[in-house]
Amino acid sequence: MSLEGDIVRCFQCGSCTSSCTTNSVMPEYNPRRAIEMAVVSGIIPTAEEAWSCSTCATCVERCPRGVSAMDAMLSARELLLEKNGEIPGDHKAMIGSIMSTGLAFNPADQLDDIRRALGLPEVSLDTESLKQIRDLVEQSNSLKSLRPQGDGGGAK
Amino acid sequence: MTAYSLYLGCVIPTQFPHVERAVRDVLAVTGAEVSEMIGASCCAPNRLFGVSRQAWLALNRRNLGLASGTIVTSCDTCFASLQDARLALSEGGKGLPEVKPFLAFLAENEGLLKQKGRKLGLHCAVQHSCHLLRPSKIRKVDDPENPLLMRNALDAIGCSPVQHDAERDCCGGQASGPTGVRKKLADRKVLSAREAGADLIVTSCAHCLRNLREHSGGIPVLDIAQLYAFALGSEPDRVGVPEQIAKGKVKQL
Repeated sequence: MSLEGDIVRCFQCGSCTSSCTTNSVMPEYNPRRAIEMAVVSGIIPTAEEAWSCSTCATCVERCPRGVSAMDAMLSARELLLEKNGEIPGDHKAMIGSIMSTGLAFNPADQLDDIRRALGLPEVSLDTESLKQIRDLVEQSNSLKSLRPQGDGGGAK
Repeated sequence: MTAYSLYLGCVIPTQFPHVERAVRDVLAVTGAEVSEMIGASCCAPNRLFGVSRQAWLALNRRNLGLASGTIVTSCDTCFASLQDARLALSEGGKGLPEVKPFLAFLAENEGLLKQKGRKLGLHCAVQHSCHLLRPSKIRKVDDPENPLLMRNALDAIGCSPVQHDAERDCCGGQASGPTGVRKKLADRKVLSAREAGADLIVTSCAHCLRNLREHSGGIPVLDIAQLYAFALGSEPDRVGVPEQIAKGKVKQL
């Protein structure tokens, strides 16, 4: 069980942490240290760390060794879900929404009326597309732990 | 004439229909041949929020297969997700449709749009979206250290970017968890725009739009498509341009 992002290439310069968006408002968030812990001790980031990455990719842009701390954090989320079933409620809801409507967000209030008034087509997907989308998501190994709930609630 | 396929993603059609109207109005003015991607799903950004690379790839293999031309995305996060999937599915994206963010489409049609559009005279705090810019070796549409696409797009419709401290910061829209990172970053961005005296904040990413609107404290946050559609003659109500912007400093040139 290891993180992605080519982290073994890291030589601990700290460019990722010093350019990190999240670190600028959450000083305890330290991608350099997270990579060190993973490489040296096999310890993966906590859910709080992994989900605090804003995915701005500045660390990827600046790394002189071609490491992606962002990919390391994203892969940590997948490991945490597989291992402990950990996933924030809003993201769990968005995946449920993708499985039931094909889209991660539920319609805003009075969406159909507004869209009709603006001359926009309906957002709802056809039955065959919805089936295909649900099947593709259900085939994912890492999402197995989400299946029994099967809630279709999405984020707004 | 180039054939495009329009990919709208989730956020714009479900939360911001006026932005979709604006995107469609601008595309219509250019005369570009545009097809719908009927049945397209969410782009499952950031590898389905990090939790399933497998599902992300499968969904976007399907999405890319629904396009009949170069895909134009109305959201920069969708651009990044589809572009990453394209490159992961086939070396160099061979055999798969190209993916283009809306700002790049505007740049390609700059001459025509500049000629047809009014000059709006607005002072804009620019929000350069992260997923448009980085990693630049993959995105290849703008310079991440000195981004020009949005600035040039604004210039073409007579708007000027206002220098502000947090201009190149991430808006935080895709951070999650209990730590409040998302709000802290949005608040910092909005404060920076206000202090610089901007009339509004302009972005090209639906997630920036959503997060900054949620924390705007009253300063208008618009998608670049809304400004373009308005400049090109769409009624402000139709494309969600608030009155204070519509009646502000617009001058016919």
